[in-house]
Amino acid sequence: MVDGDRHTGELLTTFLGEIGLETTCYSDGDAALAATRSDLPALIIAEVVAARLGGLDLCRKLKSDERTASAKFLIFSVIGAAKRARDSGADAFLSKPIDKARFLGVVRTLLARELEISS
Amino acid sequence: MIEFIETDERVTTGSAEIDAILGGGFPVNSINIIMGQPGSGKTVFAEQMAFHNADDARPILYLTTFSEPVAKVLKYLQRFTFYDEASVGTAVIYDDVGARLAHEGIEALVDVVSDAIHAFSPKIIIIDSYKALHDISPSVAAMRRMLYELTGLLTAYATTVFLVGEYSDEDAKALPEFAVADGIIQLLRSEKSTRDERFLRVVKLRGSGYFEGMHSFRITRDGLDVFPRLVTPEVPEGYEMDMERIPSGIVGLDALIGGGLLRGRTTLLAGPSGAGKTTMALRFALQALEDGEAALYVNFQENPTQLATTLRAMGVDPAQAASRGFKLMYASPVELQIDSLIVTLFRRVREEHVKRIVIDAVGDLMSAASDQDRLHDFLYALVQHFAISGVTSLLNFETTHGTDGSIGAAGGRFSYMSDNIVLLAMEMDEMMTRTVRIVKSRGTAQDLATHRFTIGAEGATVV
Repeated sequence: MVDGDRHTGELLTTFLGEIGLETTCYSDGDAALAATRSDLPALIIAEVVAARLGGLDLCRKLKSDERTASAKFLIFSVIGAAKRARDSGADAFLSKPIDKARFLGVVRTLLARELEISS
Repeated sequence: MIEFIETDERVTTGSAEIDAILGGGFPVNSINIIMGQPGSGKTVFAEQMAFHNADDARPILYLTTFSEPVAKVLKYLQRFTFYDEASVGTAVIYDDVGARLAHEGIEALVDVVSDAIHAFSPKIIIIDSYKALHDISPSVAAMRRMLYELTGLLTAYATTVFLVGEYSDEDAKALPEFAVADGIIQLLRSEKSTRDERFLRVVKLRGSGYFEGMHSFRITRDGLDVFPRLVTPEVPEGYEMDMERIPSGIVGLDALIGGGLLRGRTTLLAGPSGAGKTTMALRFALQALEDGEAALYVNFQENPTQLATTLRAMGVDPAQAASRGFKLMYASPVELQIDSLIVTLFRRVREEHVKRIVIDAVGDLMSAASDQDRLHDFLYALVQHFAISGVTSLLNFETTHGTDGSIGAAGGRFSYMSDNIVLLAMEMDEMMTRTVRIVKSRGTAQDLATHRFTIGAEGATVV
């Protein structure tokens, strides 16, 4: 997860933990890009407004690289950038704030296969 | 791509009127302040919202701090109709955090709220009183730090927040929570002679249009009963002045004013006490029944029993008149609350399809109104609404400066909003005679002469 807001990071980590997902938070996009290339996660959640490398640019880089394109990408932002999220190749766009039920619903849909396998 | 974009959802206040004032309710996930002096109705408003929004999906969290203990809040809450015992502890969760905050410091409030979010995902969080936290904060800096953390958390998580407090106008200029608040609602209470007047005002509401100004309210068993300020209606496109003439009900008067009153127009009927205003006004109202229309008689001086006696003296059976559409609205001049009265009157006209209305007398409204300009604005808006909806109105006005038939300065304030002015006078010769004169009749070549008129069993007759 790439988000500079501590509260968002803490809340999402807790909520995702409730459905058995482990989360690593980064406050800047560059660090997340490097981490993703070394250890591909099932899902990347990114805010459009993030330090160094914003969520949309991060999404484009990862989706255009065949080594990382398979990871699901969710843009979760305070900005209503649904169209730009689609253009950058994201699998889902969700606007803030955190509506727990809706957020987990989207994650469950994106990771249906992975969650089924793990259960 | 899966897509969820924030919508313009609203949180109801539990009052259709307040929701309308707010443009549909509070924007969902906003942070709001409910401010007002002690006894202004803040807690009732907050609880009304809590219970009206209570459902099984996500609970409401009601945190009390240092204003009132939960036990006291719950004790008085049970008197209200919106209270639902089954919701307490399930859909509406009360938590008294005063002791914990006193022990651990105000910073603990962030943990309290965070724990609650993790535990049961509240959709509304009410903190009552937030202002009281200033009193136990060791410093302004500590309070600001806590607010920064708290609003960060409450902005990240989807919940609608209400910070309740006995804030003054000075507090609103100085305290940091007013800068972060998306919405600010002020409840005011002003003492006026033997009764209080209460007003609700929207100070700020980000991301939403709202209805400005002071809206009168009272506290009832249902919570806040608000009377939104009446404003001049926007004239709908295609609105045309009605040129239909309707009988006034006063024998001989129609001949002086071009054949009758124009539908939807306002007539000021002025004259000294005893000149015959009430008789004329009753005849005007009763004429509606002959035309198959409903009439509303708003009266401040004669209670329903007294008015029934007056009607019987005119040969009218009050019960039969009522069954045919003669409606009475009586308010004691002692208990007059102008805003609620005018809004109630407006509602009744709309809901009961009233086509003729009498206000007997506007002078009583003037005596009761604490703000004469406000009263005139209200009455002006009211007659504009009547004009658009084709309601013909008669405003009685008692002149107090002799019997010679002039309207006076006070009456003059009503003349600009009246299409017609009918002036009654009494002349003393060998015997008293009543006279009537049409001073103004907009859009009509009126008879300018002074005419005698009589009052008898058949009603008022212009000679």
